[in-house]
Amino acid sequence: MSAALLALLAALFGRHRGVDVYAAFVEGAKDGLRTAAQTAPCLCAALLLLAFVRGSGVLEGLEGALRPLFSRLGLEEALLPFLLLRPVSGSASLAALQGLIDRFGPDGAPARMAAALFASSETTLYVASLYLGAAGRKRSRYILPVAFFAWACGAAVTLFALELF
Amino acid sequence: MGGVFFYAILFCGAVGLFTGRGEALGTAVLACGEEAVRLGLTLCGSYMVFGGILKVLERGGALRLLSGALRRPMRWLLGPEGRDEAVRQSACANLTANLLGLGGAATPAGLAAMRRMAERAPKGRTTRGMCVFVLCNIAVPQLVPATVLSLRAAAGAARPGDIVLPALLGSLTAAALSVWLSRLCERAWPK
Repeated sequence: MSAALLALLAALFGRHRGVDVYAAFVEGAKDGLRTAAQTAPCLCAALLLLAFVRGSGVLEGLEGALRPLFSRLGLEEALLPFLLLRPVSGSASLAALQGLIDRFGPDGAPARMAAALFASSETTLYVASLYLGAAGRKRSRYILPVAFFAWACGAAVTLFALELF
Repeated sequence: MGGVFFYAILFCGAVGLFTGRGEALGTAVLACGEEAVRLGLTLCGSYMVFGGILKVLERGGALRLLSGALRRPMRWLLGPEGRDEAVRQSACANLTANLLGLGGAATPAGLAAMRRMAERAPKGRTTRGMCVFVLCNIAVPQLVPATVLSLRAAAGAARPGDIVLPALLGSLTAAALSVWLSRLCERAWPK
């Protein structure tokens, strides 16, 4: 819906400003193709990491290790796989969210929490590697620790606000 | 960054082989290439569509207007790098698209901003502007989280949109914290 509106507005605006709308669109689409070629290797690396984390059983192990901590904090255990996948892979965490919706219903507490958390953050590792890769930079400096800390605080705020509304 | 990937894969690989999951691991690694192609094609489609729309807006001068209006906030956010017109235009387009939940439009503009910042910075340096910009793309406040809304609506949620405000509060907190912490770390961390 918003995408269709944007396209329509852009076309009208471009026409009004005397832009050759078709030529500009084609030119931009070519840029998009270049962007895709540039992002594909990072995507592949992120998916490889995901394959290793999952296929090796490390994810299950981590879940098992964190479960007691989670129940002590009074958090939903069902949320754990989703939370662990969120920073690594957008598609895998989306699948986990869908799984929670199927299991608890869209208004079940864990599914609602996961939905709100999905909407409040991006795929940390993927975004960092993609953007730094585009700039040709190797060092991520303080980006990852700051991002994870800020994410944890933001997630706490989201969950708290979800209780209120 | 590369270190995180290297050690994570090394660790997982060792654990997987040690616990006798070599076969499953092999299958997963082979499948991930296929998944990358599938996902990459979907993303490629949306990059092309939104790249085209963005170019029309840019040629019409909409990005110039936007970046002019956001001159001061962008300078505050990105520091000296926010003074460059090309950086500011791409960064504004990126942050606006993110706010509207148009991820496909945000990525091309965001990568353009990163490339432009990289051109102007000393070689190999990850500057303050880059760090803040990446952090802003990780903690993204979204007014319209389209994917989640459609998922919830499709599953028949009573009010699909009731997660938007909590999510927005959380991401705003994370974004503000990221910017603040990056200022602190900028002094302490080597470039």
